[in-house]
Amino acid sequence: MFAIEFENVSKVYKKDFKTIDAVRNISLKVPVNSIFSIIGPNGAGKTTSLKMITGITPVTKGKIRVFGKEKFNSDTKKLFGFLPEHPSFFSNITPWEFLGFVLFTSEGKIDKQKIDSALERVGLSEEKDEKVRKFSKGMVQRLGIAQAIIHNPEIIILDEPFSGLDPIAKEKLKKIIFSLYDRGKTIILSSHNLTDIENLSTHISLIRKGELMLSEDIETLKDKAVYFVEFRGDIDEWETIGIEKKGGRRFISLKDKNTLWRFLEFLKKQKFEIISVNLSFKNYLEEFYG
Amino acid sequence: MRKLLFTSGIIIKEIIRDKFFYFLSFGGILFFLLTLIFNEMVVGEAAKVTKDLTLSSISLFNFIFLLIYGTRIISKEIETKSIYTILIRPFKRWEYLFSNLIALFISILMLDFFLSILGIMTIKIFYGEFWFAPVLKHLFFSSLESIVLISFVLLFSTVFSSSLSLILFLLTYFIGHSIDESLRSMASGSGVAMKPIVNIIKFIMPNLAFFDYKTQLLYGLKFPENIYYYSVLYAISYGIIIFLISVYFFKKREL
Repeated sequence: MFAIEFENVSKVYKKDFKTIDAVRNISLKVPVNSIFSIIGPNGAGKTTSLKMITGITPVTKGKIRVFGKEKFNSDTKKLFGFLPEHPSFFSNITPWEFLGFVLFTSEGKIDKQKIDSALERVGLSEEKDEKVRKFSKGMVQRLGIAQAIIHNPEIIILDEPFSGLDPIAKEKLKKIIFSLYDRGKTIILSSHNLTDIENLSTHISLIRKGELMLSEDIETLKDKAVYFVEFRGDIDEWETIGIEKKGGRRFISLKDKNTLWRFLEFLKKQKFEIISVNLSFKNYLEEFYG
Repeated sequence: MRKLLFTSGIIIKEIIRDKFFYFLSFGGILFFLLTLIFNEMVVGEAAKVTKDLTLSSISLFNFIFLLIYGTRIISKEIETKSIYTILIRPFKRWEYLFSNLIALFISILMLDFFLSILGIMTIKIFYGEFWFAPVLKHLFFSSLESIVLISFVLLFSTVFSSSLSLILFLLTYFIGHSIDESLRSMASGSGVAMKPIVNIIKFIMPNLAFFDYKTQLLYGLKFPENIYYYSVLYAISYGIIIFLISVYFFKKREL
C-alpha cells in the first residue's frame, strides 16, 4: 500500500497569458510511513506537485491516488496536514483560535488539551493569546507546523519547511519530523536545499523543469554516496591526491568503504586529528540539478 | 453547516478586530458629533437634518466598509496565500465563499446597529423624539442592499486583484444607484439616445434604488406594503445569482 501514487500526472496552467507546463508526466509512489523528500531547483514543480496532492489545485492529466483511492473528497482532506511555503494566517486571531478552527473543521469539536499541547510542542504556549499579526516569521512558521499536525493526520506535507529557519529551529523541526515518522506517519516534504534533507529522508525524488529526474530510496542512494573526511594534519603531497585545504582543516571525499578504512588507519598512525566522517550523496544528486 | 458557521465566526473575529473596523466605529461617533455641531448652524430643521444624517450614515459606512475591506476579502487571502491553510481543511470552496458572505453580512449588521443606536440616542437626547421605526425600516432595506453588494464584492474579489475589484465595486455602486434616475429622466424625454445602453445595463447591473427609501422615511410618507416582499425577492435572487457566478469562478481559479 502506498500513501500517495502519481500516475502520469501533468499540470498545465495559464499565468499572465502564458501557458506553463509545471509538471510533466510524473509517476511516483510514496510508501506509507516514509519521509519522502521532493527536491529540485526553484520553479521545478515541487510546490505544484504538493498542491495537487492536497487538492488545492486540480490535476490536468493523469491520476493521483491517496491510500489507493482516486476519489478526492472532504474525508480525504482529513488525512492531510499541510504547511505551505511562507505560511500566512488570519492576522487578527490568536494561534489558539486558529488551531481551534483547524480542529473544529477536521473533528467537529475543539479539544483544548490538544491545542495546548500542540502550542507547547512548537514553543508558542506563551504567545497563545497574542494576535498572529504580531508574530515574527519564525513564529508564523512554528504555528504553520502546529496547524499541520494538530489533527493527527496520516500524511503531513511540508513545503520548504526549513526556509527562513535558523539552525536551532531547523534541528527542532527535524526532531518533530522524526517523531511523526516514529508514530507511523508519512511525511512528504519539498526542499531546494540538499543539505537540509540529506540526513532526514527515507526516500528522495528529484524534479527539474517539471520532470522527474530520479526517485530512489535512501539505501540505493547510499550506494552512490561518498564519505567526507575532515581532519587536521599536513603532508606535502596532500594536494596531489585531491585533498582540499581550508585554514588548518583538510577535507577528502572517498568513494568506497575499504578506502575509507585504510585512510582512517593511516590518519591514526600519523596521529592526525579526525574531526568528522560523513556519508553524503549530495554530489550525486547535484549531477541531476543541471 | 456547523463547520460553515464556525468558519464564519472566525472570519467575523478577523474583521471586527481589524484596525479598519475600529476606525469605522470611531468614525461613526465622530460623524454624529459633527452632526450636532453642524445642527447648531441650521435654523429650524435641525432634527430633520440629524434624522437624514442618521439614515445616510448607515448607507455611507456600509459603502466604505465594503469598498475598503470587502473588496479585498478573498483577493487578499489569495495574494498572501493564507487561503492554502484554509482550503486544505475539509470543506469545499463554495462553503468558504458562503462563510465569507455570512461574515461580511453579520459584520455590516453589527456596524449598522451601532450607528443606528448612535443616531436614535442623538435624536432622543437632543430633540426628545424616539425615532425608532423609520431607522429599523431603513436598516431592513440597507441589509437587503448589503446582500446584493456583498455578492458583488465576493465576485470581484474572487476573480480579480484587490485594486481592480475596488474599481469594479465603485462602478457597480454608482451605476446601481443612478440607473433608476437615468431611466426616469429618459421617460421624461431627455437622453433618449442612451436608452438602449441603459436598458442593457438595467438587466446586468443591480438597481440599488430598490432599497433606497430614505426620503419616504424621513418625511413619514407611506409606500406600498408589497415593496417589502419585492425588495426581499430582488435582493435574494440577485444575491444568489451573483454568488453562484462567484462560486463558478472560484472553483476554476488556479491558486
